[in-house]
Amino acid sequence: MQLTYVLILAALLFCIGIYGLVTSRNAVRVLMSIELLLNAVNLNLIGFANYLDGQQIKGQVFAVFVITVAAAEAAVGLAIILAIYRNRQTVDMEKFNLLKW
Amino acid sequence: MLQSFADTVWLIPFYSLAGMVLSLIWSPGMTRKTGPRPAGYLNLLLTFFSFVHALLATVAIANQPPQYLHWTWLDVAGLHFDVPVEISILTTTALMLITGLNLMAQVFAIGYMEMDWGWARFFALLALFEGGMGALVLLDSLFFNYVMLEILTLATYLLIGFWFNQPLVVTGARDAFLTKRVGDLVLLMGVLAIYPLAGSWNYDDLAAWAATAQVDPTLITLICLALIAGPMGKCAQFPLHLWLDEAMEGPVPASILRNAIVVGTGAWVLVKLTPVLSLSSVALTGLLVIGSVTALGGTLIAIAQVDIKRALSYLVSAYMGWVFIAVGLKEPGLAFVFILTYGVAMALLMMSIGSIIWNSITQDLRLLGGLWSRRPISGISFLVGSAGLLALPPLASFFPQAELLDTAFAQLPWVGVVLLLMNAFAAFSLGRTFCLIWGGEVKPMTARSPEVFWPMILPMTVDLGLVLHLPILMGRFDWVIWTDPSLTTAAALTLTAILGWGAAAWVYLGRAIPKPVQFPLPSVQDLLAYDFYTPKLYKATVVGAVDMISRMTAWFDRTLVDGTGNAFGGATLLGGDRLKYSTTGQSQAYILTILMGVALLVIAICWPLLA
Repeated sequence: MQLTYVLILAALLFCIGIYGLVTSRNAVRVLMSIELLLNAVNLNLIGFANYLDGQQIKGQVFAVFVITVAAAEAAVGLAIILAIYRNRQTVDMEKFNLLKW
Repeated sequence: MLQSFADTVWLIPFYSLAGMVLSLIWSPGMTRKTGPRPAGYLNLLLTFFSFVHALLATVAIANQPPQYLHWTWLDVAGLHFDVPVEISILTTTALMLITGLNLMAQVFAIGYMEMDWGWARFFALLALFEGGMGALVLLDSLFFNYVMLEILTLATYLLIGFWFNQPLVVTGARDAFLTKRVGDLVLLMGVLAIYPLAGSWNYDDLAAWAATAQVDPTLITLICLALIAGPMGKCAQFPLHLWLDEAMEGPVPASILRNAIVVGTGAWVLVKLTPVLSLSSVALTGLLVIGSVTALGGTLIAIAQVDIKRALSYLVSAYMGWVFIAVGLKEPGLAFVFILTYGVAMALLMMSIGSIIWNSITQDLRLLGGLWSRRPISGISFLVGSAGLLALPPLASFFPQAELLDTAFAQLPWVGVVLLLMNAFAAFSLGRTFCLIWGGEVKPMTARSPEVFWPMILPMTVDLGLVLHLPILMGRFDWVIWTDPSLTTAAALTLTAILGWGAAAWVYLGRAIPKPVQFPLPSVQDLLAYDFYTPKLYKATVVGAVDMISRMTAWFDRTLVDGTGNAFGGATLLGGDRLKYSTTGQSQAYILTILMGVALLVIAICWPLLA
């Protein structure tokens, strides 16, 4: 059990999140991918806090804040998706291309 | 008192200039109450002042050495140019000739332009002519003479194009301008090339330099040939002679001036350059060849013309060719005297035929005839004018021509033969014109052709008296150093003139030859009548070449130059058009782009660390 493994795991999780973020057609799955990204970040923070900063564990404090902000972001994001859905009757990301060309 | 007239002789061109500017008052918008005529009277008055001034100045400095005045024109960065003015018997005499003939032409114009509404413009242009010529003879510098030649080119253009609603007038004016410009451009090269060598443009300095100059013969030959090119265009020498023929579309009073003295301004510059031209034997031979070809060709073409003014215009070329020959034989003094005597006689001829044209409706020699009983004054004027132009003693032109003939036979006999032939042909041409207009039977066009009214007759008779008295005047004022021509020369010249005239009278008055006269070889007759096919030659060579080159450059300009610029514009347009498809409108695509960009940036920044 080393820091490197933790970091690699977090990076893989981040990549999966990015993949989901870019490829998903469903807007809710995009939000869920963002949650994956934030969780990958939290893993990094906690990993660094454990191995490098055992005394003051600033990383854990950051992780608490990130979880908080993630919750708020999910709430706002879902609200936005609901608002869009009410207007356009769809959550397909490929239909939201008003700025095309 | 008299001396002050001589000292202020440089004012004379300014009289004309003032007249020209003041003519503006009678421009078309302002002539409702006065009509345009006051402009003419004003210019006439100012020309009269100029003439009196020049006359008094001539009397004042009759036996004095030349004086020189200088004004600084340009003084910059070690370069210093003066405006040099020469006040001598030569320049005041030339001024007197210019202003005197202008006075006559303007009085003539009052009659000739009787019904024309362009008086202000016409007289202003005559004033520009006069001022340009006056300044040309006063300014003692090749460079400033070049400037004046250009002003005269412009004035010629405007005067030929006076009746600008006729297509032939427009092309005539254009051709005159362009032909002279061709000569002037080459002249400018010569003018600029000679300055670094001689260090001055003043004629005296040039003559002093030429007396001892050691220059590369090729270089000086080229410069001399360039210097000849300007007068060639001005004096309508072969092959730049076509413009003078076309210039005959202009009004007669302007043609009087042009044929009598304006062509002489080119000759004036040439004569002043004699010391420089003497440096190159090739240039002297060139002058002789050009002069001879023009003298013979011009007189021969004149014989075949059916238009009165054209018949005389080719004689103008021919007699300017005579001046070229004189300079080629290094006789500048004779050339100056001949310019004077020629101007007076040619003006008389032009005024005479101008009065014929004015009320005979036609200019076609074949349609005229039998005017002797109706138009005796014009007829006598033409006779005296032609006698004054031909080498007939005791009239003034005889003396320079006889002396040149003596020189020619002593140096180059073939030139002498050319001069004699020219005299005979010119006599034939003038005799033919006279016989066709005044001899023979009355034709429909001449049945109602009385003598014209006084403004045209007055200058004619005054000039007639002048032509007759010119030898006396010239002896009186010491304008010429008389030498006695040998008896054989005098006899030869007189004989050729009388023979030529007599032959014309026999052909055109007698009944031996059917009219219209057909030459045994029609091709030769056509060759002369169509002016050696010069217009076609121009069209095929120079005009055609310029046309082709301009088409090619236009193609190059449109396709290659414009094409390159347009290609850049097109590429940008196309690029924008294609690149806009990167704006998909999908936020996920934007996110991907941002992430890739950030990743690339990070790699680029960290590359040195990793390596």
